[in-house]
Amino acid sequence: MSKMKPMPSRRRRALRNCLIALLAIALYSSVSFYALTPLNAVEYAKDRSGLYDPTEVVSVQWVPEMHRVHRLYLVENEHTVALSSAILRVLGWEGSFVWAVDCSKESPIHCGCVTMSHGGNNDGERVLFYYGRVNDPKIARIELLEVHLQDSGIPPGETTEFENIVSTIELPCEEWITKNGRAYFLEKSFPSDDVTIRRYVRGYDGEGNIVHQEYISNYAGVSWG
Amino acid sequence: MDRREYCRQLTQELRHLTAKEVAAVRQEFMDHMEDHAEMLREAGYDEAEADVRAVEAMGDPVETGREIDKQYPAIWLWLSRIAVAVIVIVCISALFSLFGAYTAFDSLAIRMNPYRNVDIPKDSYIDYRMEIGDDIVHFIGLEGYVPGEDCEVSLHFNMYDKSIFGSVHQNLETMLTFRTDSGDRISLSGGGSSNEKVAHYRKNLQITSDDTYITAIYDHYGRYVACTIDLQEVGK
Repeated sequence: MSKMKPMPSRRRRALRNCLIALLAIALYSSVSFYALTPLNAVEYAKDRSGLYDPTEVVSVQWVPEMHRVHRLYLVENEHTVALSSAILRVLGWEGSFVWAVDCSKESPIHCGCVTMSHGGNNDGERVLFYYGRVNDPKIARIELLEVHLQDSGIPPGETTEFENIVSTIELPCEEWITKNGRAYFLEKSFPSDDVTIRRYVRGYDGEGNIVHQEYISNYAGVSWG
Repeated sequence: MDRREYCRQLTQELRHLTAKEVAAVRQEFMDHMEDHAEMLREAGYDEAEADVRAVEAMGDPVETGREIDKQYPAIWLWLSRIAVAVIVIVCISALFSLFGAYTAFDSLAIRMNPYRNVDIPKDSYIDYRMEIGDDIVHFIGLEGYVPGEDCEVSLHFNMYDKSIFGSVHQNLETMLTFRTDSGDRISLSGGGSSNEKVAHYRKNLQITSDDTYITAIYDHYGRYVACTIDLQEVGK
């Protein structure tokens, strides 16, 4: 009777298979669009979007309106505040583009907004996120405004009263998030379907005076199929 | 009790072994008993008695089987099976991600031959690089330049990540501004193509007879990078 080759011990086989699995995962991660964790997916999205410097997470939210497993990250560093998404697919976490506001130029408030929709049409559910950083310590409260087109075109900083305000979201400083000594905000809303809408951010001091007003030019729309 | 009966009673106690492991243990015991019987035959015992004595020397098969079973803890088996499952899942996922590997090859190829995607005359060649974070902008050609004349030139450049597995910033070319040495901003048009890891663009620039440099500038997110292209170096 022929002799069977002696089998490697169970432990040795298990360790060998674990090593092969780890190598496979490392190789897969380097060539795949999909990541093993949502933060890895965000890092990949940052790479594609040109955010070269390290960032820290300020806030994380679930966005179930878009996908069952969809995490939204607000990240920051000294020169940037940015929003990014990670969606769990069958093959792993997929990172979307990063929507960033350049904070290297001085401004009392840096603000951006992103509209997310499902299916690429206006019939689907849509979600709007305002995000940004408050740099002026005099500002105690901000307002996020949707106004009609006829009120647009006002220069940044000019505190004109609008006549056609569609909606207002108030964010007092208690609702801001502090990270690394800087104040950030992230607010979810449901956007108006009116295409003539323009969005503004206003900053008020402690006495209720408008100290800054600016059209939110950093706007992006994204759709997932 | 013969060898087969001994092995049958022994393997009945091997509850935590896989079929392969049981077969290996059975074979080992059979071989051991054969070797022992052979030794007894050489010592002068007849075949039947040698077989019986060889089996008796192995001890109680049930007790032996239980002791061997204890030597095979389940944790290593499950760890091995989980690792195999992970390998299978990763291999299946990788089949759907082959595009990533293909574009990595593209990134490698553009470094070895920057002119693989363009057809420009050799007297237009230039070689300037900007490092912006982990992305590289490689200026490779300036077509249409005529020294001492106002002209429209086409500035060709490739963009890729420092790592062949890394992604290039998808909108980097829109974030570059181009100025002449006099500081004037030049109006731009052009075109290009890109994938996840490699991009090639062509920008059409108006320059004057007095211009001797074109400076490419990246100034965003607190990072300032500039690269000056000497027009006198074109084609050298």
